[in-house]
Amino acid sequence: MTETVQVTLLVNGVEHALAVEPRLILADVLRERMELHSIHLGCEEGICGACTVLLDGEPSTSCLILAVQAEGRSITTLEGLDGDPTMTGLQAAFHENFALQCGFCTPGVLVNLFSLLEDRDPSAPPSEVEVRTRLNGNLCRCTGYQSMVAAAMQAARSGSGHEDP
Amino acid sequence: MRTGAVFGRPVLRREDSRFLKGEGVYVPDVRLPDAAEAVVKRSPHAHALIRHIDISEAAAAPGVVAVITADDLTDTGVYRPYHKSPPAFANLLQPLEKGHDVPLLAAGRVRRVGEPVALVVAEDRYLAEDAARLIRVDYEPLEPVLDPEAGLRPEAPVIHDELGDNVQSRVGVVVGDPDGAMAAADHTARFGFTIRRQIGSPLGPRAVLARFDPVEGLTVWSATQMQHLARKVIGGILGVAEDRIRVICPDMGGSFGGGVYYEDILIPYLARRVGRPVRWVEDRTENLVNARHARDQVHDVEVGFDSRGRLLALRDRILVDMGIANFYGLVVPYNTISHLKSQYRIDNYEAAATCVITNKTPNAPARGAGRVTAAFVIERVLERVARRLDLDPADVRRVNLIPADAMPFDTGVPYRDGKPSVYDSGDFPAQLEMALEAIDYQEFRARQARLRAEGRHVGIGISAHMEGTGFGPPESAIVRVDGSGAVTILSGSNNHGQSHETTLAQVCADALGVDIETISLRDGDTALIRQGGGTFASRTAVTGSMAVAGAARKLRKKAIKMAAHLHGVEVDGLTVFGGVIRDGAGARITTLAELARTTGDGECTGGRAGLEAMDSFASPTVTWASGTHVVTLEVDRDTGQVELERYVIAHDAGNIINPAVVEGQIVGGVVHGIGNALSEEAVYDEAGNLLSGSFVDYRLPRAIDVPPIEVHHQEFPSGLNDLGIKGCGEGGTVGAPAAIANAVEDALHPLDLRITEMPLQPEKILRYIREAEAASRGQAAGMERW
Amino acid sequence: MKPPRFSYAAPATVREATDLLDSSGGRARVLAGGQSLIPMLRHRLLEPEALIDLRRIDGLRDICLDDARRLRLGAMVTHHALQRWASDQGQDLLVDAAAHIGHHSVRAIGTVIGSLAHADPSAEWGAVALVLDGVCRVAGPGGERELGVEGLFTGPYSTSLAGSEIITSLTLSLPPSCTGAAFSEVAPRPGDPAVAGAAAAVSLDGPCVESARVALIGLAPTPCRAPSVEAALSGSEASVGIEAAAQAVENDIAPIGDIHGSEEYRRRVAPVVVARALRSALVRAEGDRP
Repeated sequence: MTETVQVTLLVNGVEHALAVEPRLILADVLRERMELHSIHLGCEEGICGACTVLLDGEPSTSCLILAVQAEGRSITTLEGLDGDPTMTGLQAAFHENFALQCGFCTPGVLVNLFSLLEDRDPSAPPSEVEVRTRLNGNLCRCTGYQSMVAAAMQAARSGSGHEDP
Repeated sequence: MRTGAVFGRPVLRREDSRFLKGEGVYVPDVRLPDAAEAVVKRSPHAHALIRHIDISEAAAAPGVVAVITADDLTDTGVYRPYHKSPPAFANLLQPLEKGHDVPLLAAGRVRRVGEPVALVVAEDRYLAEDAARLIRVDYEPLEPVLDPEAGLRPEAPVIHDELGDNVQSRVGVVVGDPDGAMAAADHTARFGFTIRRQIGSPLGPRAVLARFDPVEGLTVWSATQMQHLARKVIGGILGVAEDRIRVICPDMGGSFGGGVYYEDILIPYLARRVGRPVRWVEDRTENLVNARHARDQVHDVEVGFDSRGRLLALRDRILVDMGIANFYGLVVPYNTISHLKSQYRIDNYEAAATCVITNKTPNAPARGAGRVTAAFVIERVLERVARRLDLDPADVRRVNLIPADAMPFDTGVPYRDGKPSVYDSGDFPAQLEMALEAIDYQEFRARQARLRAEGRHVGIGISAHMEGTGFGPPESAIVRVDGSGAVTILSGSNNHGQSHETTLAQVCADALGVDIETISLRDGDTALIRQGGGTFASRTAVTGSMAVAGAARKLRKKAIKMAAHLHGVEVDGLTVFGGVIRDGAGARITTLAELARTTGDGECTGGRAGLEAMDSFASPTVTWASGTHVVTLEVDRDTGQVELERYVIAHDAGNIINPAVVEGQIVGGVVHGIGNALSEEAVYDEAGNLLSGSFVDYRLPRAIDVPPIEVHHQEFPSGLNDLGIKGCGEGGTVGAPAAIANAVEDALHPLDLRITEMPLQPEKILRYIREAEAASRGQAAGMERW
Repeated sequence: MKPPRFSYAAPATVREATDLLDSSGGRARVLAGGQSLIPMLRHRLLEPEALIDLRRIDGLRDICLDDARRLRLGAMVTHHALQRWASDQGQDLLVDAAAHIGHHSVRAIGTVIGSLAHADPSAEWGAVALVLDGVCRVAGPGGERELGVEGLFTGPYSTSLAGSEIITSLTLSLPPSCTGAAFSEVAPRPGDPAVAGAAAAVSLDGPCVESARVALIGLAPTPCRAPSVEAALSGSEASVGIEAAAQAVENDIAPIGDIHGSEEYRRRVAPVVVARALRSALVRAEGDRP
């Protein structure tokens, strides 16, 4: 047992070797050391979902994970999904549906919905209940959710959502 | 309906791209080299004397830069909350308004849980929190005052000695002859209502970052809604010239009420004191215990009415639990008084509010300030009157609504600016019918009867709201064009989710005659513009737009004059469209870009350099937005749980700049109101601890908690500004709790529920059901109940 | 809301883990998913000297079903993993219960056994484990032992585990044929901490209840069985006995009120959740007839 621990995190496809205090929260490492500012801290208790990342592909609230717990695991933030066709489709649908206002919850919402839509057959899109249930992991105080749900369903129906011009 | 090239159209949001990529810059994202981190040590007691504070261990802890207590604050002024109404209002109603100092850090005594007691500055937040735990404070607990009725008792401890008692303010109004009308009414009734404490809860907690430079002065990044006011307050208390302070509000994670807080002053103070930039980022527990507590009113209402349910007289005595300070004067209590008559013609009216100091967090305006409670009270009263007379609640509203031909309508109640409250335009009866038709009221009643026979409890609830919007100081804007044709708006407003980068650009595009793609907006920064009001009170669509339109029009006129002068043509007939200036025959004369380049080369005309103009606008008084809400829901009689089914709102915000943005404001507002109605409550225990201190216990609505929400627009232009705009930021919230409470009552009919409180958690609903069941057994036994 | 300082180890074996716990003299805590532990650290309700992370120990993520329909879960099996397994296998009780836990992201990291060890009286798995005869495998410095779940909980957030013991796996006996099992819960809103919840397994013998097992959460200082309900049901004609049996729950509960629900409210909704769980268990039992 030592004061700092050496960890290797695979963040957005890049390995980072870091010395961290065991108490350091993953979200703080991502924000403060790696300057991944899409990670937002809204409650630091796993309720609001503004800090949602993909941990080995599963949406997880990075405020409730110690950096040491993520040793050797793959962490994907919104920045790491930039350019991905599913994410691009989702972002476009959010824009078209006015699905954001202050933007604080948006990155966590996008990451969470991305995991719902990724690899999904556009002919069997999620139901509205399924989308809303998944969004329970994200609080939004601005939009009332309706526009987000519409955006997610639109993106799901259009598959990658990436209609080539 | 007013439309221009882009005004009135659902233009996609121009601010989206940075947020969609996670590149919004919120205060915690602003990086300054060498910034230290502050943590506030807060009181764990509602009321206690501070015998001694020992900071020695904390000061010696690893990474600590400084530890500050009240004893160190010898070089600051005092924070004395604003508390005086404008003279026009004060002369009219003669309110009682008392002021007292609020210490920036508790000195000798703490008056609420969460009050700042000390500050720790350290190398990072972890170390600062470690050190804060090492500050030893020796408290001697005192008896707390935790509800306003207790605070008024003669034996109650006085919380601020300066006030003499616990009454901070009192205001009342009388219209017509309420005593006479009450005495003459066919029916009278009396109700008590309690609206519990709720919290604004933006998703992004507050944050402040400050840097001090002896030459530049202070630069402060703050998540505040009014940067210019923050600058004034900081300057006043810290003794720094206003022009040596720059307050920047970058992106903000919502706000929903608020203003200038202790930390907005303390963090700049620390930066100056320790000679390093200092950052403070609030966490959620701090936000919930500190920021934007709201509602918390007790109403004692008497009503006189006739057999058709017409309200002949209304009297309301209101107690407001202010917490330990009132930072906003009569905003909350008087908003309640001035909105209580709502859309209804009530000729005889009397209301008085008393603001009582208690050992809780300050009660402040939050989305729907004072109006949520007003709508709850008046709409519950109408619902009870309908039940008492066995009339359809929709019919009772119909007989009370102000008819369209009575517009503009003077309610007889002065507004907070001392001017008459005159509803500037609208058609309330049509609005009610629009909402009822959208939800298909008759069909619902038929379905309700069928389901009732199956033992299911579905209900429908109606409420109306009024919202005085566009209040407050002027707003300013500068519009300028550069040599490439890029148009920049500098606004004194403050965008924290309201889509100003889109809506103000829409206004500017049409007023100036340019493509919206050429426009960008900057706001929320005192360095941009001398004066700014900021964004609150549903005001920016009204005041911000008018300032932008004014500046853009001035600029257009100036450009035309310049074009005429430089090109030797007549001013008459020149037009600007798409940034191109043409003559009456459509021939291209020049462009704004060319003109900007010309002046840039120093060939100015008329001695006025620069293609830039500025304007300010203050609304002569508030514009009146309105809405009618109808909700259907089902109640689980065994558990008290409510499932919302459908929500319809018919809404008038005057001329609409961007219908999709307005819909977003309204739907978001309704969902805020759904939380206020059903799940959000700031619960204090008997020692004055806030029990709902996290999002586990303070329950914001989630995606599955809300039904489909339909917005139907009426557009009755305001007569108070030439764009015809009314505000729309809060109305969704205002009407929702009343509509939902009424629907819950309706769902259980004929069981006679008597809902007197909001919010309505399942447990409370089950309690009302049991009371109603007991009463109906009592009635069967011949007991009277009203 | 940042955690206090602690040291950290992620041992490779259970033995090392229990040795580390033992040498800490009770001032270390076991870390599995951390979804209950980290919030407590953030509020500094706990200030452990060390965390012993189980993540590197082999085999703790396994889910195995043996021929006797005994399901064994390792200590690092997440809510999500069990939910997915149960959904594939048609294990309705487990699926029902998992759906009430927090939200998707929390379920992806939080563990079933971590939840049991946290001993929240409102945690869903407590009732499920009681109904399915859960047995914990407990490792300590002196070796391993088995501990029935009914012997695990000693009070709100407290267990009979010694400071140096770790639950390494949980074995649940899945319902036999002609048995239906279900879970019902009342919370302020779905996903909020339960005010009252019931897990029920009902075995039918013709139209009559052969045996019933019912366990409760949120209604006593610990998750608990409902012997009065079980006795009232046993041998009764299923379709008529449920309401009366559910009412008997009042003999089995000792609720503690808190901000989520008062004692009175919990008493009020206890029979409701019991009846609902029993009703759907019964429907499932009938559907399960050969």
